[in-house]
Amino acid sequence: MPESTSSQAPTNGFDPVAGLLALLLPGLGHAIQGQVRRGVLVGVGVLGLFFSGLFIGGIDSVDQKEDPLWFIAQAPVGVMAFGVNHVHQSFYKGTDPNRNGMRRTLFPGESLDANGRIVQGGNPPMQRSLARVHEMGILLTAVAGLLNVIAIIDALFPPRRRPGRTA
Amino acid sequence: MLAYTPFIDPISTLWPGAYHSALFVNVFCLVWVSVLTSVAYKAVRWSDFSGPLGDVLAAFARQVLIMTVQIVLGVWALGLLIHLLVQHIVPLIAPI
Repeated sequence: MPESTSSQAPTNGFDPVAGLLALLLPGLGHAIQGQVRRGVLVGVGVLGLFFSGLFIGGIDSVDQKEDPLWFIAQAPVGVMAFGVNHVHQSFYKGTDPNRNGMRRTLFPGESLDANGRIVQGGNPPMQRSLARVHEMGILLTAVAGLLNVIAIIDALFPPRRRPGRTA
Repeated sequence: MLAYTPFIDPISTLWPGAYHSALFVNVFCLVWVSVLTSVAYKAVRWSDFSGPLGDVLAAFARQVLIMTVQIVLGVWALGLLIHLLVQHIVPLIAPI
């Protein structure tokens, strides 16, 4: 697909569809505007950071319930952030029968039964990241979200770009 | 049944003791996060992606490298400043 040149560059204006798509999946907003290379590189950068954070800090890095303020920064990654959070809340946490059915992360020596209740014995479905590792995981996923905010704004309000300059 | 730790285990396998290594966090993670931040930021800011793919990527990589070096040196400089402040300046102001 041909890339935008200076004569085809998006004009100043407002492109809500591109903004929404950029919010759904990093880089998709630019790709839909015909700037496929830019979209791919935005996606590589943002999703690379997001999955690096998950790789370092584990799925525990994205937790809307226990780290709600950090999740505000992570949320702009879009479907990925909400999907990871959903998987984390649904499959890696269990209902504690001793605490009014509160859902929480399992401790060592606990496991989930078939109904998702926490029982003694076995091993938890995931290992929590702690301290420096947890901080790095959260930091990388949050930086990914904040960088995608820049990409969303850029897709939402396409600027005029002059060739050969870094804008 | 063993715990399912799909994200934690790979790093421990590839780099035993990585989590406790200052090198891992201060160098590897810093450089990695700087590179990816530069890629995402420059992808938005770079003005012209037209032309042969190889040329575009080479020019883009140069911009990413420059920004990465700026971030890494900036963070190291901040670390040095904080070290000087905490280890040398504060003890002068408020000796223990």
